[in-house]
Amino acid sequence: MKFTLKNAIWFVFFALIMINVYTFVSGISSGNEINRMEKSIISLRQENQELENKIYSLNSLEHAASAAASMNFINKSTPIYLESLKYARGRL
Amino acid sequence: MFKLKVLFLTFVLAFLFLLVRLFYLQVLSPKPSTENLYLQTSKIMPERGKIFDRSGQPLAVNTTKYLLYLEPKKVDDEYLLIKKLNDVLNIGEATIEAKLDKSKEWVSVVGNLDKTVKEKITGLALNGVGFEEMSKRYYPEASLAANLLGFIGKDYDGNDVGYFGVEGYYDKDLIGLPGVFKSERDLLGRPILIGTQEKIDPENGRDLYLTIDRSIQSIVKTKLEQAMENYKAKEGCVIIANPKTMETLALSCLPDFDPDRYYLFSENEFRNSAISSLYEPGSTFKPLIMAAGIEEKAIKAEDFYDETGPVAVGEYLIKTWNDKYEGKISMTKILEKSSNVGMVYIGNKLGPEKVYEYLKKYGLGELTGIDLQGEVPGYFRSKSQWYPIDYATATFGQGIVASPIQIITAFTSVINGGDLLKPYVVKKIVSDNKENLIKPKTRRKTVSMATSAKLRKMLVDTVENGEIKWAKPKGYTFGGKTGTAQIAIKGHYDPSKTIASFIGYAPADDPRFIALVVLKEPKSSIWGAETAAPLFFDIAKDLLVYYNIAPKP
Repeated sequence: MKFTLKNAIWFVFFALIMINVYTFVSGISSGNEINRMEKSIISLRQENQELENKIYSLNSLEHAASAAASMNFINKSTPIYLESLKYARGRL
Repeated sequence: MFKLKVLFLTFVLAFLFLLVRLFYLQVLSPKPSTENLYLQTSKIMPERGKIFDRSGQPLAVNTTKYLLYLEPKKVDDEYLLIKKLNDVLNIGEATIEAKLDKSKEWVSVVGNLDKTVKEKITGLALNGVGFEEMSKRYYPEASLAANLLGFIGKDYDGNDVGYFGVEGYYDKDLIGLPGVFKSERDLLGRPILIGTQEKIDPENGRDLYLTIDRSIQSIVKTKLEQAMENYKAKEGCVIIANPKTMETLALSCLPDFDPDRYYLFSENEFRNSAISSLYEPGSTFKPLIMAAGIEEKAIKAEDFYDETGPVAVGEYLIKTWNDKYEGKISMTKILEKSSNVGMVYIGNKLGPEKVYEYLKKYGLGELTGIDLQGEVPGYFRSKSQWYPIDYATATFGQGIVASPIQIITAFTSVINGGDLLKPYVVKKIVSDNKENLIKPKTRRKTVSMATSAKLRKMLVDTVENGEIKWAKPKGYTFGGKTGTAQIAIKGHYDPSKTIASFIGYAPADDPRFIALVVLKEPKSSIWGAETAAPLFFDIAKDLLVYYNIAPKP
């Protein structure tokens, strides 16, 4: 009986050590995973923001005007300066 | 036995040493017990609220930029670092070298870098180089609504703060509240799971939805730019509003600035002339006095005035703009030909007390309350400082000053049934869980519905029969009034310098929009009928198409 009790104590002792080691290693591994996910979340958020801004830019009137100008889809007209109003009033 | 005693003594001495050392560290010179070396506390910056137009199109959003910094003590090869960084940044090797002060732990080099530049520099794998993230404003429509939006600058502590326009007025709503993140971390930055892990989420800034229509704003700005070039005006301003609610549909003043690079512009260009500049309104003020006369029953819309010649007021002589007098003319004709002497007659019928009362009633010298930073109330002299000539000139809009927003608000009250409304630019404030709608607000009544109806008819006739009828698009009815006010310089009016303006609305029977156009010192012609009015009709043509309003046969 003394032999069995002594063995049981050693068994519990080693089991506790193993559990402790396992918990410690899992903790470190989870910590690593959390760290990695935090960086991933930041990166995804930034990417999301960039894509959103790209959509806004492509949808903007400024982009449309710029694209139209570069493709020559504009009416090029010479400005008429109203210094001689008889032309404007149709009285030549 | 002797050896055992020696060993025992060695262990005792070692333990005594540890005991003394621990006593010294924990009792004689302890570190504060509140200091937790593993606890990292960081602020989570909130995202600044975005600004959208009335249909949800973005006008101001956020983007991430990067600040490049150096840790000079960690730099291995200075020459290589300077050369490689300059190849990417192009800011000059001398500039980078000047920053590399070995006595410093951390120096900033350049900010506002985008992701591609950051990735290029990261790819160089240089020691002692790092990046800090910064949130920055991004304007997809560039300077389309620069005066309206304002810009983000810095305060004395280096924090972001909105200046001018909506960014300035609603800064507290847009800025949000920071959050806090407390986490116990090991040496490698990994969280210690059994330690403290607390997070208070930030409250992001509220999003603003404006009353502004992006398309109308674009039409207005493009036309205004063309007109400034055509008429060689020094400054120009256009305000478009809904006359039933005073929602501002577009507001553009030139010259303006680039909100992204505001630091390259002078403070004069930040100023929104629509709310911060004062001018003598001139003839655009005449319908307001006409309305006052009809409301007070001093005159009737069907009355006639005998325009025989100039009118003397004390030592001054008031003339018409062209010094021509047509004998018996109707009240409508006074507006059509913009007769100053006719207006003096109406002012005399009203009496100086009522003229003064109505000037105040229309909001002169008072803030309109528009939700843009930088509005000025103007200057309105007390009654004791008024002379008879002041009452006379006030009837045709000279000798008094107002901002464009005050004029359009007062004029709108005359055509919308008498409601002096508070103009506004933001119609909705949206946070994570709440939407706050901003409703139109009537400040007071100026005239009755009957008077308003009479004025609307008179203003239609003014456009139909006045000088500007040649510029009017066919098939539509407009109401409006031109204005040509001389500019006072050092106590005298300069006849060659004017502020040309036009205020009008359409369609006349059920106005969808009212617009005020103001051009300062146009050179091609000094007259409102030849500069501001054509610009108004040019804009109106596009607005009528935009609103799908078909012409009547």
